[in-house]
Amino acid sequence: MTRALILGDSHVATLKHGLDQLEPSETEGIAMEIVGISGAHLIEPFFQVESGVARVTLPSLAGRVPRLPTDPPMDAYVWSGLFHFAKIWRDPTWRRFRPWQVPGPEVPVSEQVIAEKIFGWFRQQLGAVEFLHRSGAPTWVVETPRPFRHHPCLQSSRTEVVAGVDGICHRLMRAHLRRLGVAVVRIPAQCVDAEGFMLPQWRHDKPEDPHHGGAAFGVAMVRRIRDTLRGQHDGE
Amino acid sequence: MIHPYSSQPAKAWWKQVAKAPHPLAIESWYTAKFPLAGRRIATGGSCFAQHIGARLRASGFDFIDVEPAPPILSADEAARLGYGIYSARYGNLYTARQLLQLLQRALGQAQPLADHWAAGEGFVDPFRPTIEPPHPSVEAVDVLRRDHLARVAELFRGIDVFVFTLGLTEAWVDVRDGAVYPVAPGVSGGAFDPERHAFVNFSAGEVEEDLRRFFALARSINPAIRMVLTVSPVPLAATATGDNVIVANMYSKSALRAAAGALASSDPAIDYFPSYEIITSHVMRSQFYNADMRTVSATGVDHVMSRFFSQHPPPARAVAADAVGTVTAPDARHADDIACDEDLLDALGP
Repeated sequence: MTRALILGDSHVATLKHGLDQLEPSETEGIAMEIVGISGAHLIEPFFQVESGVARVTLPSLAGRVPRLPTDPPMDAYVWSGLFHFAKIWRDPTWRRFRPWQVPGPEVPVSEQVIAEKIFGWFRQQLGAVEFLHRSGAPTWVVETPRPFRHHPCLQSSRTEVVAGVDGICHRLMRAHLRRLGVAVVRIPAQCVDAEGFMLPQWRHDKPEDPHHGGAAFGVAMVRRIRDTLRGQHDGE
Repeated sequence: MIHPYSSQPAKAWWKQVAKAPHPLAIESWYTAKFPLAGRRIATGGSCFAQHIGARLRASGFDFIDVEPAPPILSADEAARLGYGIYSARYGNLYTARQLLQLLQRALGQAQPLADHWAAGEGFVDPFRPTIEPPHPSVEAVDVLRRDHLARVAELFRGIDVFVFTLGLTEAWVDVRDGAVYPVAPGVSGGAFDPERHAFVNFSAGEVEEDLRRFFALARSINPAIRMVLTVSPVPLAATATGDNVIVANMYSKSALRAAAGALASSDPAIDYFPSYEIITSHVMRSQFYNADMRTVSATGVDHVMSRFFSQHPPPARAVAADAVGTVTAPDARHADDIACDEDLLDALGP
């Protein structure tokens, strides 16, 4: 039995919904334990390395995952949250500014503006993933949904700009993880339209939810994770 | 007996000024030629100019920033990407020639042959190579530069007063077109080519001529513009003259001071503020230098600006650190954090 810990932000709830919908036979041989915490808690330090172990210092997480790697160790760790860039692309900044690559009337800025936020806001999560990976634990990062077209920010920021920002976020994060040697479980291509937005059928069941995937998305992603853990899909 | 000195005020007499009970009590350093209150003010120049801009902003003057940081950036992030340091993201302008060429480029009157430098795995703008990390493509450099220069043109068209801090006479130039760089090629991108790059040490006359040309060009697009000149009291980090750096520094600062003085004495729209003298005069006993005898202490900056504000009283309302507008917290950085390309030379030196 392959024991996998899927750990991360609120998007793991979608994975849990998806896992619940699958027949047990679909995940035969793989036991997935899913633990989630609000992404807001993962911006500040939430672990401390002591004696070769990352002690989780965030009380709301430590009760469920006191250390990484876990004891006993999991066979695989799948981290969710490193591709949730809504905090960046939904920012009102993009009403007046744009990535330089996106044509338009807004003020062009370099990718460094986005890189500063990624490696600022995601520093702690990246640290945890890197620690797991360097400790020898089989570690993957799973993508979370791209922007949905119903997100309220698109009422005031152009879709091209939001898509551009999200695209740059993805590229920078994938490049960083590639340098670390950490593979990514990617969203199936059929979930995303040509501009980089999630297709509406994958949205959350609650109409007011602007950025989580629905159970169908969870099913698709759990199958991806399953295939990756079975070696049938390499991840990126 | 009546002679020309009979009517001179006390501040004209060395023994009167030097007998002040303490150097900090000397108050007669500066008499403003024109007011700054209510004027739209921009700053630029060498590292020391960063202090001036920050204090003007913090003190509630109408400090113009035509390239404010994207609001998503924190103050520290914005500063790392060159936002909020000067009135536009031109980086440090060390020489008068650099300033002149900046405005020429902004007005489409000059297009340097070298419009990008390779830097690591990316590319930078040779005229502001340290404004932010290298870009992934030459196209990025070009797009961002065009927007920047458009805003520089907008800046000089719209301001009332430009406060410029002269820093250096030494520079590196592309011999093909005379383009002057803020740092030597190879230090922060680019590659030094002895066939293409030459050292220049501008004379006082050349500095004066460059400043006159700059001001004439600025006036051609903004007839009412005024300028306040000052000379940075921060000595050279290194010299390429072959001379002892202290000797080279004396030449450099003397030339800059002479040029600034020549302009201020000949044009009612140009003023000179003696930050250089306030810091470096032996009357001040070098008390405002840090242990490295080069960087100016925060106390020194405070004193310089107190003399400035004694003639240019800050507006009644000071800008709060978290006021809407530019993101950068006013002078929240320690004096040691002032970005100075010259410090790169220090880091590279023995």
